[in-house]
Amino acid sequence: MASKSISKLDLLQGTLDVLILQTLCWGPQYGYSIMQMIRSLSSNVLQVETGSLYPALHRLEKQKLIAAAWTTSENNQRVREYRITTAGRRTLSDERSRWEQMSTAIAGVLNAPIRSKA
Amino acid sequence: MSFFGWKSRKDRRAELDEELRTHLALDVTTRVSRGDALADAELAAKKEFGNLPRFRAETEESWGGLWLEHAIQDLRYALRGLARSPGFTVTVALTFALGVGANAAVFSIVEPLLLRTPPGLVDPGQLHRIYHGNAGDVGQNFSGASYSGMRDALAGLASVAPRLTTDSATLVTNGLTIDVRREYATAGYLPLLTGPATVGRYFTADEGDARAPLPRAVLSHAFWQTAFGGDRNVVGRELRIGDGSFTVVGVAAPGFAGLDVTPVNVWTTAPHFARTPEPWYQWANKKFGTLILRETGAADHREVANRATIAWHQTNFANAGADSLRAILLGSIIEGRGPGASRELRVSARLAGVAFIDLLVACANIATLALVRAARRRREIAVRVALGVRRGRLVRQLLAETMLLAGIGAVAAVAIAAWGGTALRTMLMPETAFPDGVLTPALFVSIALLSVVAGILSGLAPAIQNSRPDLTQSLKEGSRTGRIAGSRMRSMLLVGQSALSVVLIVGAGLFIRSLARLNAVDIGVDASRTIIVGLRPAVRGEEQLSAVMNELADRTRALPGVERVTLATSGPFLFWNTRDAFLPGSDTSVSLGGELPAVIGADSTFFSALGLRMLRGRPIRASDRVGDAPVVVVTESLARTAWPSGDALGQCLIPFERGGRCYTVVGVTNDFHQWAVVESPRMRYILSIDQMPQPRPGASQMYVRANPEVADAITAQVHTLVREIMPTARVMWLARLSHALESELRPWRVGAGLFIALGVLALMVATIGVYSVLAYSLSQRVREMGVRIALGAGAGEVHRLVLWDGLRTVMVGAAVGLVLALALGRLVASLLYGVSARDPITMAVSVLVLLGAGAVAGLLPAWRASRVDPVVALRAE
Repeated sequence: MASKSISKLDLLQGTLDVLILQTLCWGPQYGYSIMQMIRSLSSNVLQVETGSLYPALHRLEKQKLIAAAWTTSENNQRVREYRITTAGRRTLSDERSRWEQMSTAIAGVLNAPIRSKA
Repeated sequence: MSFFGWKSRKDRRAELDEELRTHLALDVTTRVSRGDALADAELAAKKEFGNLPRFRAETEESWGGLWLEHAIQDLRYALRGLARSPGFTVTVALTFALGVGANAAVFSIVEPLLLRTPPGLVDPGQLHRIYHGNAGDVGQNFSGASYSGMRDALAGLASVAPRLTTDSATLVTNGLTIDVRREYATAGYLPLLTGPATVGRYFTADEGDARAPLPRAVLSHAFWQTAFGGDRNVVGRELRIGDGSFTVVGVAAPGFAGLDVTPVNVWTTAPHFARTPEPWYQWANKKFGTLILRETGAADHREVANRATIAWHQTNFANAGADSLRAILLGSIIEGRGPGASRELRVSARLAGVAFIDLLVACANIATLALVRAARRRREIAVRVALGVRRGRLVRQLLAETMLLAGIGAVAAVAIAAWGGTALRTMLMPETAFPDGVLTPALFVSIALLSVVAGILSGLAPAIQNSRPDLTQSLKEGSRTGRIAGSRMRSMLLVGQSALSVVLIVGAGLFIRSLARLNAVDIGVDASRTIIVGLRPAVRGEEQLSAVMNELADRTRALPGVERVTLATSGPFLFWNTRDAFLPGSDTSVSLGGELPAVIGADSTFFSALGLRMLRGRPIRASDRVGDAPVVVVTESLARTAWPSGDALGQCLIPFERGGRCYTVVGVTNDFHQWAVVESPRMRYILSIDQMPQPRPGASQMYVRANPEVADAITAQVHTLVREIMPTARVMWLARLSHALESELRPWRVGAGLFIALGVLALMVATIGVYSVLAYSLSQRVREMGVRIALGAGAGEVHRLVLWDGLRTVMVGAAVGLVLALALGRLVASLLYGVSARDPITMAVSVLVLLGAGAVAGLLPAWRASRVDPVVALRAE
């Protein structure tokens, strides 16, 4: 696997939070499945480290953007399942629009035609 | 364990571990299902999983609530640090303990007297004690006429009730004798102060306020519970209280136990008022007690005081001239806060201030020690900062050490407060029975608060100072040399300590000088040899009285060790019998400062028994009998007032009535005090009992002159004789005069003792501070000393250098302290005797004492500095 691993420093903290919230939008997930989902959706480009994922999950839980409960997974494993809260959805939509603004702005800079000095 | 969603840190950690284990297991399962071998899958999963402890810590941090965890860590760290330096730990903890303990001990005496409202009062805010005063001179005794006058003048604005005397009596019930505290009361007193009676009722006007009060009693709720088991049938019972029999009419409202700190057990009416010719509420010349006033609704303070003042002036016939400038003042119902607070109380209030100064000195000293200690640990701190410990955390860590020490100190402070508070109570106020012990919840709260405040005060500054070390400097140069961090703060703290020490030493000095002045006061009579015996025999007629008194005098005279016995109608420390005395042709009596003279009817041994000195002429002789020429002996102040320019001998003085018989002055004796060590001169004239005009009181006062070595034993023997010869007599006072005076001198004596103790404590603490700073700065300058010595500096020069270093700071402190002492002087001025609060000698001596202490603190470091071996010092780098 020659995928690029995005370390804690590379993946901005806020970005990971947005990714987690977005993932949970489609339904409750547990830690491992969130990680797998982000990986497959980004075509193996974004590989979240365990060491970043769990602090982020617990931080979001503390901020009441997501909620957690122990349940049993499809293959009978006891897992801690996370679910997005109403506050989490609101934050997600805020962050999303900001992200889009930002990427439009960056794209504008990157795609600008080169003007010669002369 | 989980309560309402709250989980302990341990449970959450276990949950997190489970979550992570699941994660790992799921990863392995996925890999195996993709076709990896189990062993490879496990290895790969673990590798990808990463550094477990690190991100577990990070996750935990996101839970919050870490401060508690950190606090525990900080305390553990502090504990380890302290265990490494037991000397520092013991010194600082002890300093905290002494500082906080001294405050708590003083608090235990001040709190019940100054801060606690007497229990069981209804709307205590409306209640006032009434005083009459002019500037600092305050009194609170009123006559019956003044009471009635003020009551009528204030009708509608306020209610007034007289407060009579309190005494200790024995109460006999069912053959059981109990010592009780009894307060005499009129009908209006109890209803004015407290709620309705628990059982029965209070005194009616017929019982309590009548011309001749009926013998009735009301029990306090607490006493009723303990002595009568809360028996409601106690109402109607006859109790023998003191020398009378009283019928119980009720039990007071719960909680109420009078207005003093010592709880009252029983209130009785005052049947003895019936003995006087006119009803008590018309007494114009006799003062019976104090007054309590309750304002009704929205009464205006000033209006009440003004009306009361006018009414008082109209009724205060006895002393109208002298009191014309005095006004009525409304004071707090808490006696200690009123203008007429006792000297003991005022001393203890000052002691509270002194103890607090002590605590400040202690804090400054601990801060100094902590600064020095932290400076020694500069390298350690620098390493911690370099490793990324945040500043706030570092401040907390450094503060934790001081707080921990304050906590240890607080535990010891409880012991010091328990011991010191008890000692203080018995030393300063042996007559006050405090209702509860020293260790009250309020005391624990105050110790806890003081310790926290002291911990923060002394720990915060050093912690902040040391949490920002100059990294490169500290790491490079180590702990031996380099800029001395916080040296300015250290000097300031030293100056502060020295200054406050000077203030306390000045205070102690002023008290010592006052005491010396007091001890030197000549009260005119021989206190150590005199036993005073004041009796009120229950006998009728002059003949019967003189029979029993003579028997007592004769039998006392026969006791071994007794030198002289005399009987008199009145006399010093027993009875002041004011009687006019006229000069021929004058309409008004001689008077001094508005005060009339007093008469004493005495026999020929009076002068020698009391140790009076004849300044002129002769004393009264046994030969001065009824039929002989009437003679009088006057005191020095009377002689000077009546005949300012001439010789008193041979002059004529007319006692009692204008135009009466002329008594020839045959002698002048020295002035002697009437009631106290501190009093202004009073005039007296002494007649032979036989020649005294009517009406004259019986000679029921006895003075015994005894060998001082056996005087205590004789006092007890006289007591037995009195019991035997006149079992029904009331003993007003029977004591050695020197003992009677002792209680007056006690506030000064105890005040001096405690000021000295607290001053010495502060001085010691300050000395330790100076010493530790000198020792530290010397350890920083070992190389410098080595160089100096190598270059030929003698031991004397090195000594001077180090000593001067310490003395410079101390001298600045002394100057600041002097200014402070001068400014604070007026706070103690009213407690001093014969010495100014700005007494230059005391100031000078105090400064010298401080400088001496500073020099002592510098001696050891100076000696050590001169012994530095240059070779070792220079090579040590």
